[in-house]
Amino acid sequence: MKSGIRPPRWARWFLTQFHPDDTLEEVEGDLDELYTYWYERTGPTQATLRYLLNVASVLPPFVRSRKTNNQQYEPSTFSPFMIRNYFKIAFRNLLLNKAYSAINIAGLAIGMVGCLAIGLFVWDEWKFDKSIPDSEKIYRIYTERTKDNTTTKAAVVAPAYATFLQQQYPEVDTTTRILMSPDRFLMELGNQKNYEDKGWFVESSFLQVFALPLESGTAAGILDIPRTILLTSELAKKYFGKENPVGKTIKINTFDYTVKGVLAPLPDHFHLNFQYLMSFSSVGIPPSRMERWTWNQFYTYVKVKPGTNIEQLQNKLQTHVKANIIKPGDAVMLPFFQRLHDIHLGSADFTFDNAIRGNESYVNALMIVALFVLVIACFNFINLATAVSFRRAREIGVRKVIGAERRQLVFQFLGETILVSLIAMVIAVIALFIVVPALNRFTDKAIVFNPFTNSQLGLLLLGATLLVGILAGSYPAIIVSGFQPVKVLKNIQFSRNGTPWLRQALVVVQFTLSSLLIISTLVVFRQTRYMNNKDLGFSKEQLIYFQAQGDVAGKGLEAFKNELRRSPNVIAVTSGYGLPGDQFAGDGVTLPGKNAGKDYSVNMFVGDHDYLKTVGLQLIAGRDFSKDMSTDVREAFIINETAVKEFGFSSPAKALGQRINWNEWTPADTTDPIKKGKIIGVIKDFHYKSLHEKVTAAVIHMVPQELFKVAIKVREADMPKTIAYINTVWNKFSPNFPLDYKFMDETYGKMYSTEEKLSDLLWLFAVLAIIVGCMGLFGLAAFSVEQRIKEIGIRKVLGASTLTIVGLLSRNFIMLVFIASVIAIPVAWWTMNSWLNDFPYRISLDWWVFALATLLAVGIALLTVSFQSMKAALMNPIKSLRSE
Amino acid sequence: MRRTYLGEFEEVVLLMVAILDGEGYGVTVSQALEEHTGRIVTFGTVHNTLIRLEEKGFVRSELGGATTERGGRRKRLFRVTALGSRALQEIQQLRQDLWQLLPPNTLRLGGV
Repeated sequence: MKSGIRPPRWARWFLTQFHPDDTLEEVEGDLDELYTYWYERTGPTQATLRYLLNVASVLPPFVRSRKTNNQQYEPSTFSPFMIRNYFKIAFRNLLLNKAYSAINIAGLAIGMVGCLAIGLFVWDEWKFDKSIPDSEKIYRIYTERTKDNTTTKAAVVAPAYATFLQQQYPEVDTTTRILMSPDRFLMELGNQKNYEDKGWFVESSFLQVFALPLESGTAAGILDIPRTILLTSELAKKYFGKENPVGKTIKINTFDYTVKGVLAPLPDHFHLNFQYLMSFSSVGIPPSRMERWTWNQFYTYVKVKPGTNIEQLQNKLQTHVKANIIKPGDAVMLPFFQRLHDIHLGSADFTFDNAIRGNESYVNALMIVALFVLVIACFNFINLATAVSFRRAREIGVRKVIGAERRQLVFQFLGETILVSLIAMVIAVIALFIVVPALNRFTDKAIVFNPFTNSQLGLLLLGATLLVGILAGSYPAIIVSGFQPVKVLKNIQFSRNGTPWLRQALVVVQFTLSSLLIISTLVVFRQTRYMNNKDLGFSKEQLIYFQAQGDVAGKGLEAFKNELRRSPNVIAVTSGYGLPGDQFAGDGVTLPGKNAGKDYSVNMFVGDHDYLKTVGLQLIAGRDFSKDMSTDVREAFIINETAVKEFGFSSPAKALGQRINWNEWTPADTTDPIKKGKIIGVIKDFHYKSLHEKVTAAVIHMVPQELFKVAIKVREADMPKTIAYINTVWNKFSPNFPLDYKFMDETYGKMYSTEEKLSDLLWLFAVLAIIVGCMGLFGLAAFSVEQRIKEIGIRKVLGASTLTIVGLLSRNFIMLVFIASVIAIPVAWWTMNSWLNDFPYRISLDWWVFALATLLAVGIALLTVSFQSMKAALMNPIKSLRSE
Repeated sequence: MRRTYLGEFEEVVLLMVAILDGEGYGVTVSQALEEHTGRIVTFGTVHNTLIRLEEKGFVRSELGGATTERGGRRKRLFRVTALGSRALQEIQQLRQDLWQLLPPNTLRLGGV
C-alpha cells in the first residue's frame, strides 16, 4: 500500500468488528485496494465517503455470510460425530466378544426379569387397602394374649370392645363387627340351589366404615333388620340375571332373606373377600351375650374421627381392660389397634384371621433374593467388562493421543455399559410379558404389566436401566480411562490382570450369595416336606367330612350313621363338633380334685363312641369310649398328652380316673349346668391345627346335643362309588341340602401352601443365581485361559499332563468358590435358624445340608471352569506357539 | 431439467467473472462492472452476489494472490464452474431463440 493513502481507522475498526470472520480477510483487502483506486481517481474526500458507504454495505445485516461446507470439527463429547463413533465402536466390541456380550446380556436380563417380577409382586402386595375411602382412619382391633411367656395374636375379639369403644370414646366415629362362618350356606332361588361360601354376618354400620359403592339399594340403614342380605354383583348376576334383585327374597339355609342391595365389584386390593353379607341381627345372638368381654369371635373395625391420636386411644382402652376386665390369674389379653394399611402384610402371625393375607417377611425375603440375583449379574458385568477392557488398551491409547480427555473416555465406557443394560432390559421386558401371566397363576394375582401404558412403570424401568448401567460400568470405566497412552502404545507389559483382588472378591461375593440361596432352598424344602409328612398323631387320609344338615342334624342321625356303616367301604363314622383342621371349640375346664378354682383353657372336641376310631387317634393310656359303659356319655373325658402336663399329672396313667368338670353350652338340665366327669383315657398329641402352631391341651368327650359335623373314614379303593353311596344315603335323610363334603388331607395340604410357594420360588431363584454366577465364572475362565494360552503351550511342550494343566487353571477359581461357601455357612445357619424358630415343629439344621451345599457350589463351579480348562489343556501346543 | 434461477444482476456478475477469466475478485469485478455497464454499485452488493453465485454452484473460489497493495491480505479469486458456463450458454441460447421468434417489424414499430 502506498504510504499515506489509508482509509480512516475507525471505519476499518467497524469493519473488523462486525464483518463475518470467514470473509474478513478478502473483504478488507478488496476495500483497501478500492480505496487506493478511488483516492487516485477522485481524491481523499470522495474516496473516504465511498469507502464508508461500501464498508456499511458489507456490515450486517446487509452482508451475506458464507455457508461453510466443511464445518469446523469441535472437540466435544456430544458432537454427533463422536456419538456415532461411540455407537459404532460399542457395537463392534459387542460383536467382537460375542461370548462375553452374550454372558453379560443374558445374565443381566435374567437378573432383571427376576427383580422386576418380584418387584411387581411386592408392589401389588403394598397396594392392599390403599384405595378404600378414608382408609387411613380405619383400624382393626386385635388382641395379644400372653401366657407362659408366649404371645398369640388373634384377629377376632370379644363383642364388648366395639360397644365400649363406641359409647365411651368420642374420638371413635363408627365401629362395625363381622361374624364369619367357615361353613357355606345353601342359597336357593327358583331351581337354583348351590352352596355359596364367603357369606358373613355384618352390622349395619359395615358400609359406614367401608364406603363400598352400591350398584343398587341405598347405603343408609341397609342391613338393620333381621333376614336381610347384600349381594355382590357377581352373585346377583348368577341368581337374578339381569333383573334388579332389590326387594326380592332368596333362601339362605331354607330361610327367606330379603335382598337390600347389590354391591359393585369389590376393589382389587381389599383384604376382605366376601360374596354376600347378611344382617347381624339374623344370627339372633341374645343382647346379654354381646356384652361379654371373653367371647372372641368377632372381627371388629373402628373408624376414628380425623386428628385422633391412635396411641392415646389404645392406651386408654388398654388401661381400662387391665383395670376392669382382666381378673387376677387370667391370661393377659390386651387389645391393639391395627392400621388398615398394615392388615394385609402385617398379620402373618395372627390366628383366626380371614383376611387376604400376605407375609411381610416372605415378601422381604423374596426382595432380597431377587436383589441377590441382580447383584450377581452386575458383578459378572463388572468382572467381564474389566477383563475384556484390557484388550482395548490400544484403542484407549490412540484415543488419548488424538486428544480424548479422561472424561470423554469415562462417558464412552459408561455409555457402552448403559447400552448393554438397555439391550438386557429390552429382553427382560419381552420376557416379562410371558413371565407375568405365569406369576399371576402362581400367586393368584391379577398383575398387569404394560410399561408402555403405565408411564410410571416405564420411567422406573428406564431409571433402573440407567442405574444398573452406571453401577456396573463405572469401575471398568474409571480403570480403563486411566491407562497411560505411552505405556499402552509401546506395548509395555503392565499388570495384565488389572486388579485381581477386586475381581476375586467379586467372585467370592457372588458365590457366597449363591451358596446362601442353595442352603436356604434346601432348608425350606426340607421343612416343607417335614410339615407335609410329619406324623400328625391321627390319620388324615381317606377322611371325608361335612356339615350335618336337615334330618342328619337331628332325629335321623343314628339311622344315617347306621346306614352308612352298611357299606363295606365305610370303616367308621362319627359325628359331633370339632375335627382336626376344621372348627373346634376353645373352652375351659376345672379339675375339682386338684385346684378347683382354676380354669384350665383347652381345645374341646365333641365326638361319639367312634370318634377315636374314625379320626385315627392313638390311645397311650386308659380306654376308648365304650357303648357298654352307659355312664360314658355323661362322664367320660379323653385328654391328650399336653393336657396331662398342663393339668399337672405326673404321667398319663396318673391322670386316669381324675375328675374333670365343664360348664355346658346348652345344658340339657338347666338346674345342673355342670358336666361332672372323669378322665378315662389319654391319647397321643395330635396336630389339630397346622404345624405353625403348637399343640395345646385338648379334651374329647361326648355331648349328644352338640352336633355339627359328620366325619367318615373310608377305604381307599372304589372312592367314587363310596362317595356316590354316601350321597344316596344323605339324600334320603336330607333331601333339601345337597351334600357338601371335603377331604381332610386336602384341608391339611392347603395349610402349607405359603411355605410350598416360598420353597418353589427359592428353588427357582437359587437355580437362576447359580446359572448367572456360573456364566460369569465361565467367562472369566475363558478369559484367563486365553491370556495364558502360550504358557499352557510351553508347559505342554515341556511335558505337563492334561490333568496338571486343568488343575493349574481351575485351582484358583475353585478356591474362591470354596472360600465363598465357608463365608456363606454361618450366615445361612443364622438366617435359617431364625426362620425355623418360628415353627414349633421344625427340622434340625444338620451339618450335611451345609456340606451338600458347599459340594454343590464347588462341583458346579468346577464343571463350569473345567470346561474351559479342558479345552485349553487338550489344545495342540503347535497352534498356540506357531506365531512369534 | 429445471434451471436454477439466475437474476439479471447475477447474470451480469457471472459474465464478468467469466470475462475476467480467473482474475475476477471483488475489486476487479466491481471495476469491470463500472467500466463496461456504467453501473456503480456498492461493494457489498458485488460481495453478496458472488457468495450467492458460489452457493448456487455457478462459480468456485479460492484464496490467493496476496499483494502489498492489500497489506498482504489474500484475494478470493472466482472462476466460472461448468454449471455456471452452461447456465450462461443456456441463457444466451434462449435469448437467441427468442430473437428468432421476433416478428421482423415489431422492434421498428416499437420506435427503436
